[in-house]
Amino acid sequence: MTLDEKQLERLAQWLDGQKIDLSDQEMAWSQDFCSDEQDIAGELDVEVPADSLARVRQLMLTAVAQDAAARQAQAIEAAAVQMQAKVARETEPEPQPAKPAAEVAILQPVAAQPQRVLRVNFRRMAFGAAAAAAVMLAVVIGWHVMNTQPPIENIAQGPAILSADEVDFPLTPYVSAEDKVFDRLAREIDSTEQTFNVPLTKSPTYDADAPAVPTVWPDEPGKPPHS
Amino acid sequence: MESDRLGIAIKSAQAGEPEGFSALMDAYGQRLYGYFFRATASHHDAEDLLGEMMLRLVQRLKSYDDRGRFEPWLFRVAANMVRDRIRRVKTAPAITSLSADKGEGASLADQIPGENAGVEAGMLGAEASDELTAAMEKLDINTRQMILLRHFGDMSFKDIAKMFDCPLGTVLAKVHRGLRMLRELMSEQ
Repeated sequence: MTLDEKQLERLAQWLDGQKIDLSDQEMAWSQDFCSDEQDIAGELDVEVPADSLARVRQLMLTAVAQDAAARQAQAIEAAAVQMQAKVARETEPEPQPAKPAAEVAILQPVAAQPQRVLRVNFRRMAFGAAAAAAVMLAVVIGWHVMNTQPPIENIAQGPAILSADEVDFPLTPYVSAEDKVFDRLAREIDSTEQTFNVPLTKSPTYDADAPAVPTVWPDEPGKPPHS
Repeated sequence: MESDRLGIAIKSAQAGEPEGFSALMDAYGQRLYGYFFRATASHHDAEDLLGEMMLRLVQRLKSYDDRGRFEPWLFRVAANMVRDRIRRVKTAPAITSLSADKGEGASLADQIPGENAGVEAGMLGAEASDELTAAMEKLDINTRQMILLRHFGDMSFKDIAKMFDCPLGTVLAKVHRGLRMLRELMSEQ
């Protein structure tokens, strides 16, 4: 019984389970084929050695365990990479709107931007020095003003609105630095006289009318005596 | 194996669970072993190939897209492995002796192309003991594969035709001719 290619194709489709109307010849051929297949099928089956399957199963389970370990290692590695990236993101300075350099230097860690901090510190130092100089200048000016008061008549004039007669506050007389020194010496002399009850200005050895005794200075080496 | 249970086993195996692979081994281990044994006629090669098959399954099942065609996929992989094994045996340099008197490999005379019985036949002959194995040695490798895939893999003619890239009718004709030949050879023996 011979069939052409088209019939064989139809038969193959029918054997695969498709619904195809077969001719009597095709049906007979298919029954013949199924009979052959069943006969051989009984011969093809193999008794599998139990130890072979056990060894293969063990091999497979070992591979599964290794695969699981590899997956776990990959997961750990991925988590570590993710963590590193997260830490890097957190430690990196976030882009922020521009701030004054001094504020940035205060907010940022010193190690993060040492150059900027250094520059800002120099600025601070310069600013501090200028402020100190200004304070010192103010002190010097103040000292100068304190020691060089204008003449009384100038003060007495006062503002242009007021006349000299309208000034009702007491005017202190101008006292020079030399007068102050003499006053202080006089007060000290008086104090010493009262303390020790000794009139320094009227000593028995003191004679205001006596001729002045020239002061003799010790000779200096290599120079003539001072007269 | 029922399709529902098979689907669960596949998903479990894809998740890397040993239970899933064990279920697949229970379902297909014997059939795959039988296929490999009939294809190589060697228990040693069958076990070796089955082990390799299961290792490939562990590696490749993750990328397998289950659409209810697991068996054809599984036996296609198995068929490719058998084909690769046969090709490797063909191309592997054999131990050569000037004469095969001492039984150490093939002699130079055996390697002269022409009346060569075929490497796959020699491979099959390694443990050929039963009548069927001896009869299958006489079949060409494609016909043998088609019969084995049809029996062990429960593959349709359509799938076999696709795998061997030949018309549907041709596959049926080859399988029919091979089965007839096996019956005749076995009845002779």
